[in-house]
Amino acid sequence: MMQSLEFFISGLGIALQPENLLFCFLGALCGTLIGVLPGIGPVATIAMLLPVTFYLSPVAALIMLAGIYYGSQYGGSTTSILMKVPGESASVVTCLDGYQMAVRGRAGSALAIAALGSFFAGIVGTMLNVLFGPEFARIALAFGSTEYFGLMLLGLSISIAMSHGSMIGSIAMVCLGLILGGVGRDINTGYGRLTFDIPELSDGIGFVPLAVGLFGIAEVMRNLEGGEGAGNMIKAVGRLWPSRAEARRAAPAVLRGTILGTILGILPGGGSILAAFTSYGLEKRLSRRPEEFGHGAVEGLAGPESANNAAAQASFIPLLTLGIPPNAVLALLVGGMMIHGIAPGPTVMTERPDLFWGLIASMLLGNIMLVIINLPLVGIWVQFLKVPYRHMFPAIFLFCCIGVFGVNGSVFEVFLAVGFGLLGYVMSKLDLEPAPLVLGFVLGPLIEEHLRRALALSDGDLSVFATRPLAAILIGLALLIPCLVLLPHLGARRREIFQAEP
Amino acid sequence: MKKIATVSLTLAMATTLAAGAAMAQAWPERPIRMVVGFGAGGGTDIIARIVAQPLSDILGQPVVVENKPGAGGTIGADFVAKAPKDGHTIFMMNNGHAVSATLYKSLPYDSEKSFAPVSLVATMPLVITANKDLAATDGKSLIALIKSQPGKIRFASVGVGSTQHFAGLVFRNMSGGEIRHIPYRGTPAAIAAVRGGEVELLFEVAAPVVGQIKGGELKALAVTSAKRFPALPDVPTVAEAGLKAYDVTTWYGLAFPAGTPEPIVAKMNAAIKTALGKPEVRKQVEEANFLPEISTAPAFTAHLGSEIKRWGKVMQDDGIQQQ
Repeated sequence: MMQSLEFFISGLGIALQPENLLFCFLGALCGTLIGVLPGIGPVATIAMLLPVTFYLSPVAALIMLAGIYYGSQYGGSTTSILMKVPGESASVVTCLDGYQMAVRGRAGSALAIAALGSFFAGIVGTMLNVLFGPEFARIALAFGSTEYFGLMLLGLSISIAMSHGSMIGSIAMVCLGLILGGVGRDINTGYGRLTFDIPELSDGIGFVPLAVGLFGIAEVMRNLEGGEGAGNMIKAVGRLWPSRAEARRAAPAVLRGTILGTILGILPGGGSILAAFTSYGLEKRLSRRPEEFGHGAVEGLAGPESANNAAAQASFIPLLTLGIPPNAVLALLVGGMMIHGIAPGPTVMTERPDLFWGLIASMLLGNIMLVIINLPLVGIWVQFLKVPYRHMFPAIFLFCCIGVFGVNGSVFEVFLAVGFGLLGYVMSKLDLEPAPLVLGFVLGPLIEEHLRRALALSDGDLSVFATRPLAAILIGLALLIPCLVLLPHLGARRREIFQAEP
Repeated sequence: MKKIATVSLTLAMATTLAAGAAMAQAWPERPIRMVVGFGAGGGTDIIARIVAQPLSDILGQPVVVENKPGAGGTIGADFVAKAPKDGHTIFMMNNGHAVSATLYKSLPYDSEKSFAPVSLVATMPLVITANKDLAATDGKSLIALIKSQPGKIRFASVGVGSTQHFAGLVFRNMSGGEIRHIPYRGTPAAIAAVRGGEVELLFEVAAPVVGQIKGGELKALAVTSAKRFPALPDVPTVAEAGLKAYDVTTWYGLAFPAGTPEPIVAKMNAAIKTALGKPEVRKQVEEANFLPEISTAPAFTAHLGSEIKRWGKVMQDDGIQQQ
């Protein structure tokens, strides 16, 4: 561990070289900006900038690309809070309570909490990488399909636990999410499912059109229905910075979110979105004021925002120590390494310590730069809220469309987003929440894939789910949590019944 | 009347030809888009970006790589098939293009006739890799191991209908050893599964596994090409293990939409030849674990045709359903 610290300090020397420092800043800045633009996520941006990195040294190139990734996690919260448009996938959860805080005139405070929480998570996540990276990475390899199935099932059961509407309604939304997630080619047989012979659907429905439609576009429709100044529109800003009471509520949530995010970020395929959702569920269970969730609870913003940032940092561990990128963004980084003739693999750490430790150290610097970039921006973003909504909504709608188009350059997906906008609008009329739908959509295909693969590997023997201890524990928890949620319900109802009888 | 028609037809043809020649003279007038049917960062994208750079220098117009991912590369292919035939849109084709010709029930284009192949650019063998604890050291001992435990050994691939999957099927059919296929979603997941011991074997293209092999985390048992792979000189071929005719090599090549004037195709072919002749380009291609390869347009056309036939037959023999 001491040795790691020594390497880390030499890495700082590399990261502090003027060229590397400059590209670290450029990456962080670029990440913040693209995080703010809805839809245009790190995948599209890194893809566009890959050829530029031809001209850089490999270290500078990777430092910049990595900065774009974790920078976008910072920026992603901005539009979620101000407009309910998720800037990138993990900030869907930020839309829930962050936007509600803004509606209640606390936009400035929400933005500041998001930035500070992300900063804390980024720094702690990076240091955990330094100290325990290789040990953590070994855990990731112990996760087979059976364990993933348990983990995803747990995530889904937490999602049902965290919804605040009616239980029937959220189960219905989870099911709708599962169906939408099932669209596309079945990886075990190669058959298209629910694709209606539309080639654009053969790879499934994209996450960005779904999330931008259900949240962003639906919100525009809802706001327009009441005419100007009516309904859910954001009120002018009260105070810019968090109050002491808000800070006190945010701090423990940030800490828990960071730990959760670091653990889930290491697992390939789980990633930051699962971390954000799980943190939200956890905060709601632990809170003494669960009824505030969905109406601007500080913990509901602080926890998930920290979790997705910590997960973004942690996801570099499997990439750098195992050579296995855990998500699409880091797979692009592998492309960046290969362009520079570096074969991604377990030896990067020993063969190119300059690259490995330089990159990790740059994350520390990058996070400091990000908080310096983002805090002053809070004041500027909040000014936007003074623009009358009749001028704002065409811009928001346009941004949504550009963002969706930017992902794959597909017009079809823009129409899809508008369709999901309509669906989201109808759902809000029926008091149905979009969050369980999104989680069902994300986790459904993963649950199915891992369940079927686990069974294919065991040749159809169901007992693997009980005999592999880690899997058994996760599945047990997944079954237990809905019971825990239902119990107080039953208890409360019983009390009511008893009270009704004189 | 008839005469006038003939004359005007001849005139029209002459004008078209003249126009074609004139077009070729001026070509390229604008930036050329090089369409990749897969996402950025993958093998096809990387080779496209490596060759786009020198081609821009040689042709004097930027060659811009554009990713149009989706539906196994067929969305990008369709885009090129329907693009203007003026030489300003080119497709980075790969072996998946030959596979999708039979894999899909209906395609909005003809995998052969809608394209004017220009030249191959690179090839890459696949490597049969194993968990480091597997009791096999090369192709021969692998076949023996598979035969001693029929149906017990499983191989991972990046998905049903992928080149990697087909390489495994051909291996199974030729060796007569019963191995089971387990599809994964993407290369990283498949590598993690083999390293973690969830599945024994992995059929994968060389580039993403070379680092794992050199780091000692995956064991390379055999390469699938007819000749040994320079980046892994100690790894024998499958043919050396006794399956004489075994040769699965994935390839990358550039193709215009069909109907692009012949002189433009010739000019592009020459530009590719010049580009891949540059030592620094060859070095970059090789460092990314590709093998540079150039061909004439007719040779590439013939190669495409034979690959389409070959994979169609593998699909039929193994009863893989069309999608």
